[in-house]
Amino acid sequence: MDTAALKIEKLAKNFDGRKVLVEVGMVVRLGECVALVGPSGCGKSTLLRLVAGLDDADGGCITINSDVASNPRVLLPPNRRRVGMVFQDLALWPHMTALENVEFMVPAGVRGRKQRREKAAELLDSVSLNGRAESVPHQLSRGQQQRVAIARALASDPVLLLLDEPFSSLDPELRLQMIELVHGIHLARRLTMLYVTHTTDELPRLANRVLFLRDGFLAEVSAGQLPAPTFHETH
Amino acid sequence: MIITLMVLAPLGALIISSISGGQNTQNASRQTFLGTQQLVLLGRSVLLAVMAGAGGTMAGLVVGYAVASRPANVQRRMAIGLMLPFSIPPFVQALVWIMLAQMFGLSVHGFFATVLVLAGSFWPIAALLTWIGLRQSAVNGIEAARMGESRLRAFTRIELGLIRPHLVTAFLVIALFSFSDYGVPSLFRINTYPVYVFSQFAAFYDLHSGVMASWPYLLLPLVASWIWYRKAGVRFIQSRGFGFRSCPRVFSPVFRSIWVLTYWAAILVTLGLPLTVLAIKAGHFQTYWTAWQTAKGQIGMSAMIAAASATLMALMAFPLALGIQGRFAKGSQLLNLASILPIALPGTLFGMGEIYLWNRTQTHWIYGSATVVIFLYIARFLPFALRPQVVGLAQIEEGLLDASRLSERSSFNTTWRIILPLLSASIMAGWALAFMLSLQELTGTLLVVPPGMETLAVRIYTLYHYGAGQLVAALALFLVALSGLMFAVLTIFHQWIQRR
Repeated sequence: MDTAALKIEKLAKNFDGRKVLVEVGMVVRLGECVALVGPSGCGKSTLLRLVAGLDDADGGCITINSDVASNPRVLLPPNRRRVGMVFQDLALWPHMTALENVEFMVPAGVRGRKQRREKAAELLDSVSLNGRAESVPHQLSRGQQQRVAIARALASDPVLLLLDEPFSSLDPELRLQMIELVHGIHLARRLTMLYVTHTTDELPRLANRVLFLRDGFLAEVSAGQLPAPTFHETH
Repeated sequence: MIITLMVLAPLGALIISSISGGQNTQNASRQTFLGTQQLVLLGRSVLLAVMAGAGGTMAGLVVGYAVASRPANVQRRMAIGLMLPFSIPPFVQALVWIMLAQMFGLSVHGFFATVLVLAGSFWPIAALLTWIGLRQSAVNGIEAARMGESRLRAFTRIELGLIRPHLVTAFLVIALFSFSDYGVPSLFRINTYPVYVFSQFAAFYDLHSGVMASWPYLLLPLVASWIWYRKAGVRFIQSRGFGFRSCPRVFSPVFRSIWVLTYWAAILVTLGLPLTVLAIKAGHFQTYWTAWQTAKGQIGMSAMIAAASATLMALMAFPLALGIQGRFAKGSQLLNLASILPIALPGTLFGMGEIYLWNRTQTHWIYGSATVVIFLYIARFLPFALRPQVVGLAQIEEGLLDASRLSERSSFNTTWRIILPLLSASIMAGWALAFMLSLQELTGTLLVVPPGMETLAVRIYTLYHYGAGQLVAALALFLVALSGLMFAVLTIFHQWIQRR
């Protein structure tokens, strides 16, 4: 049985002739939490966006939960890939309350506004934010906004959760809280996660495996090897 | 499709007619391109446009800088003040100066008076663009420049450099508006190119001469639009970051009181003074009552036509803006350029195009009703409703739209719940601009308005030529009040939305 939640083969992406990703390959198994690290501008976020379907790859194949999401003949739109994403700048819709932000992402299969709102409220509750459901993003602290973004990413019942530098720009105390929150979600839901980071202190707590991306190539490393990994190119 | 029908069809029909007119066309083109009179008029109009553009941009730069130099909490109120002079159309500004001169037994007719009034009417465009440009520019960059450069060099090399696209845009917009303006030069009895074209068509009903004479109208704005698009457009459109923050400018601590005085002097001359002169000229309350009694039909008609046109423009602009912002979609760049072009074209040209296209037995229901006026306004002012939406879309954080793409909702649902609310302020700004411009439009309306459906602007213009000074002043105040009222309602509505 194929236990891969995400399988990437020979993925390539160029920007204005510059090779950002060069035949990258990787596998994330079901229930695994994989960290993607690397220097700024190395293509970490690009890789995440290609998996989410927000950008189109120039070559290669992406398979999510045994369904081909992207190859030279198939291109699934983002809303049909069953992935959730926490954006680096959170991207909360400023005109909607926390509850509405989450409710909008509840799958179309959940019929009725009441049911959708109930599900959204449950999710906010699961990130300890139910008391602020009717607040709009700018009325929330950075940490609370982060919780809304996580709840929103979970609302679509994703098989894969992508997190783009979720702990950057947080103060140390808040970082610890968020790491625990994400860790708790990972354990409780056995949710497959792929997250991008440029820090390493949370890796032992959170990540089952660490992948290092540099100059368009991907290498698997142990947390202890960072930041000077030995390269075993996987492509 | 929309652009083709509303904008390009009348112009296209006009161009085809102009080049397929046989002997008439040859005579007209010889007259236009080789006649000394036309070349002199063309030269005069270009000079007038350049001088008004330069004057308006300089004045706007100073006032815009004054606003940007003030504390962040004051800037929003000052910026609203910058928009108020737009409620007085240029031809009413011209009437005001004529009335003021008459009060002192003077005459203000002439070339330089025309330049001053046009620059004085359009400077708020430059002021607003300067202020927006300075707000968008990184404060850190300016502070870094101050570490190693003198104030003057930091100002000229860094601050002005950062807002160059905005200044280029302001200059081109003011110059093109001035080039194509008919009302002001005709009131100041200056024979410019637009006056010549208008008279060719309106007085002699000579379509071929009128259309052939309009070719420079098409060519010059095309060149200007191209310059803008190449030199300023992309950077101007793609500017992001729009927060109200405190921006210590290079010169703000030095001439603090002068900046404040400059701002108030500009507002006083272009808003306070005209309103005072009109009020004095109108005199007794009885004049306003008489004006209302004689022109309430025109006031209602103007408001209705302007509101209908602005609403249609806002609706049509939305899908166009989405098309233009799909930056990688085929044809989006072309669509963008096509959407900018009509800004540069004069009302006379649109008026002639609408007449040529609709003045037929089969389409009399359009030509003989207010529909033709609405078509004219849409063709002429659609870009003004469109640009705020395009810029608004560009300023929406990309992540907000990316996040919505992950939802399983339909694209209609995503548009309705995510994009439209995020764009509401831009849509309203575009609507208000389109409403105000439609309300004040004179040149094209003079040509196409059916009998019995005069707008307020046309009524003011014609009454002035009958010498009814008091009535003209009262009606001009009604026109300003109508624009101001709509502006106030929209400002309150916008603030209410922001609070939500």
